[in-house]
Amino acid sequence: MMKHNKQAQAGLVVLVSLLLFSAGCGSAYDYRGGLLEPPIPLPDFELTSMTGQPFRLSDSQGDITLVAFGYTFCPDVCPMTLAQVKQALAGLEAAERERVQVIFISVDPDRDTPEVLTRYMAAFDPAFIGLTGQAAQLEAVMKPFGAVAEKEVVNDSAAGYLVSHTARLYLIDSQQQLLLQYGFDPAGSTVEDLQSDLTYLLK
Amino acid sequence: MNRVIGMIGLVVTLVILLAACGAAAPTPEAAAPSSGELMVMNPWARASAMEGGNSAIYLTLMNGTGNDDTLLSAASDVAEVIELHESKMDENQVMQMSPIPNVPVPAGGSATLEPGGKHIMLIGLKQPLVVGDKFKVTLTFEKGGPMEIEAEVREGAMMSGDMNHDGAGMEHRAE
Repeated sequence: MMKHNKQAQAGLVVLVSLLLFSAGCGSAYDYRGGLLEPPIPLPDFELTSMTGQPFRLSDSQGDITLVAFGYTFCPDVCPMTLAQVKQALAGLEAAERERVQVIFISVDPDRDTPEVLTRYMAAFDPAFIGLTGQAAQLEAVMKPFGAVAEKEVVNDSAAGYLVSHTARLYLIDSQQQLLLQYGFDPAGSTVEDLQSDLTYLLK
Repeated sequence: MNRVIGMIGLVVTLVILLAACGAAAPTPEAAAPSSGELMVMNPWARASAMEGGNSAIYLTLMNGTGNDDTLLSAASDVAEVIELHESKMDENQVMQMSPIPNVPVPAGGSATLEPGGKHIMLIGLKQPLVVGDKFKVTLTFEKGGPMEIEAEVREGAMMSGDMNHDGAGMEHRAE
């Protein structure tokens, strides 16, 4: 009996040591998103906010800003990306969550007026910011992200036109640098990956 | 002291057992299409609070009949227009959506409509789609004819674990 307890205690010591060891490895954190090395400094773009007022990237109050490009007419990829972001943020402490600003940039200024964007963003989280701008403005903003958008007329649909666009999610650090990007992955690990990276970065 | 260790041991054992239990639990899998019927598994729609906005319906079609069939169209009161669409991602992560004429369901095979792929697109919602709501959809097949199903409204994001819902959800069979 005594022998068993000793073995159990020894086992416990090994387990605790392993836990401590892996915790100590925190400095060697591997980002789960795609790391941009070196991070890409972003120019301070200006677009139009949901109130119709100008909004600059430097106006973002977050220590971390998450940016996605899309449009409200898109029923599939865009809402899923925003829902994944919402779910990832829900897993953070409230104080951490407040340090993350989510920005959705519409690449469909014809449909996505400030009023439409307001209603759309409110469906996810009223704290999320929706921005849009004219085609030339948007193109300039998207360029450093390596993102593109293209309007395509579809004749055989009530949609009239659809907009193809880069479906990545981007993470910008407090130095206004593009640090990480996440590919669209409907059934995958985006939520866990984002949560893990945010938790690390907000420490 | 021994009692405390004993208790800890018990708790740890229980946790391990529970975890093992979870791992070993049979994953509900879609029934093999051997029923001789055309089946619609797990139909769901993305929640959308914006009236006049869009959403999409996803489902799995299983063709247990001996004949190839094709989903031609879908109809429902919840939206102004309903079309079949497909999202496709290129190697640069550019997502392109386009209308598709139909969804083939081969004999003895299946077709999956899922986020980031084929979907039934709801254009111009007449009412907000709230999580937990259910609404009727009529699917029309080339050979199977019309089939009424009920789609459940769910939150948009899926954790990988949610995939287990597949096949566990509602099931509709053609008469």
